[in-house]
Amino acid sequence: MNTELLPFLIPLVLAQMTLLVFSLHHILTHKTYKRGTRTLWVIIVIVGMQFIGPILYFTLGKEDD
Amino acid sequence: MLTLKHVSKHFGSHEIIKDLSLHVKEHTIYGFLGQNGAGKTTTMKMILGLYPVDSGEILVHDTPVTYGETKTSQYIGYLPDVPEFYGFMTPTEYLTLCADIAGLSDADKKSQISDLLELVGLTDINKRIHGFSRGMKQRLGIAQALLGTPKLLICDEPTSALDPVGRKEILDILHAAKKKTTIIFSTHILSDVEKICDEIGILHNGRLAHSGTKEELLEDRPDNGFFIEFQTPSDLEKFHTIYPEGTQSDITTLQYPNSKNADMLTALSLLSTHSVVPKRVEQWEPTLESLFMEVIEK
Amino acid sequence: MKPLTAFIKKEWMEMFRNGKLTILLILFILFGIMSPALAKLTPALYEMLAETMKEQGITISQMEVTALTSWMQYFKNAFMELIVLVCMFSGILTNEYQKGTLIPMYTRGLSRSNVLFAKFLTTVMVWTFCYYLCFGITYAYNAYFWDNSIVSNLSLSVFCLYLLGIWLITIIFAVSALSSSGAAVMLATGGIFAALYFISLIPKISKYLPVRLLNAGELVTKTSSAATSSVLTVDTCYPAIAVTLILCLFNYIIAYLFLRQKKL
Repeated sequence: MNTELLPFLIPLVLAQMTLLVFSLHHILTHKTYKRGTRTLWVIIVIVGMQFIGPILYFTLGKEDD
Repeated sequence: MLTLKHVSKHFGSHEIIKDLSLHVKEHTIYGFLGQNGAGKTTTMKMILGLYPVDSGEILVHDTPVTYGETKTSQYIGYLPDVPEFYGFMTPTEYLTLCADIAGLSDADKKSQISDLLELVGLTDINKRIHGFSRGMKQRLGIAQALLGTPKLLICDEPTSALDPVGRKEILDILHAAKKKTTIIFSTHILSDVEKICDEIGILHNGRLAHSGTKEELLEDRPDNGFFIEFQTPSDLEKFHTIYPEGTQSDITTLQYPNSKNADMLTALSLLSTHSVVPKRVEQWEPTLESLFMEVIEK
Repeated sequence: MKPLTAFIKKEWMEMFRNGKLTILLILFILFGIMSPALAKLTPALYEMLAETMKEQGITISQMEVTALTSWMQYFKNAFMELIVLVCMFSGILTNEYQKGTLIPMYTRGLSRSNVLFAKFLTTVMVWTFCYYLCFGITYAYNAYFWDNSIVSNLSLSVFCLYLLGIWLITIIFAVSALSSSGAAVMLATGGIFAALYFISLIPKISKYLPVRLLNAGELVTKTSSAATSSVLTVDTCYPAIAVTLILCLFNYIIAYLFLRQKKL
């Protein structure tokens, strides 16, 4: 059972981590946001239900270049 | 180069431009003066074909301007008051995009872009526009507007948002660009106009209240005049009986408002023939500011 | 042609550089893995459920997991994909109008139809790639663990959801030409979707509505078409597909007409 789940777990964890790192990198390298503050977005991205946090940040918080 | 014939424009019931006619000659800098809300930006956007014209006609390089997609856009470069760019691009990438849209040939594109970046002092800046200061954006805006060597350059308040250093830079660049193109330049900063404009038009209530060269505008102004300051009150009295013009403004000063240069010469010769030595004879210059204020207050 | 290709290039550069493409790719990969993963977990969840139920005296028969379980999960997730699509692209036109970045493009002679087409093409290409990437990942997992041949009409049902995405994209553009705020576009697009969803509760019209395609999952089970009319079948899905295609065209024309009028 456990070994059967590995083909899922490895890519899932990888994709999840990439998303987290990418979002955090984006938040920390930008000074201004459309809404909210840096701390708020860091919390939302880390706590926010795996991928919902990053979606929220990229649609509501990210400033348009 | 640019001709407006009886142009009118209203938004809703509000008439912004009423029967505006003007003409701008080639290789001049035309200063377009007016208060905020006088209709400067509206006029410029009509020239660009971004707003439709209610009545009248606009000709750029003898080609009529039409609303929306207009043939004249190839002759015109436009610098908005606060230019906005794609922040994710570098200046070179942005200018390349503009050049491709304008349909410049590849050889032209490269040489023009490097020349323009040099003109505005942005050579070797390879960071993205996102991190640019206001002055840098304004300079990039001029480079963008001058791309494709337009015959007419329209600048909407290019200096209003800048500090004195940035302002001087922009004025210098515009002055240098005059050799190659005709410039229309709207502003409410009078000193900028005095520095670089050859011709001036004052827009008020949708009409061109005054237009001409600076000298023409200020000639025969009612506030043209001079005053004589005498050394003693008795000198003043003596001179006033000889030449009973002018009004006394204080015990040693006589003023001659609304006078011409000839009046001043008469006064000077009378002073010399009656050997009255004044402390000071001075002409007071009419200024653009007093003209502007007068137009607005009317 | 050169202005158009230059502007398309700019759109792609934007997709890459502002991180949108990366986010979308990661999300759709996640969605692709999630369906088979949940299917694989189902027996374990059932076992847990069965044990607690046994204490209450109810027995649950052993659940058999097949490729169908995974595909059903895939169609449930599809709604989330559509939400992500609308969120990510709702500002594609309004952002530029709000900031005024299109003014230099327009004054240089770029036509509004080119702007619309370049943005539409880019959005559709990104959606196509992300959607079918997600599908491909699920398909590969399902083929590895189970047998994909037991499901029927797979390509048709997958296409139905893809088309629903295209329809939403055209709504985004039509609403963007009318409104100037990205949030308004997001709300209006969601509103139109919700409104149609409620209209679809009326049985007579429902088979002609694009929202009907959301039930594309019903196509893959081998139930007979004689079942109730509320179930989407191969025969009953074509009217909805046809109407959706017509509406896409209609939305695009609306977007073009209003964009031409739109003031900067």
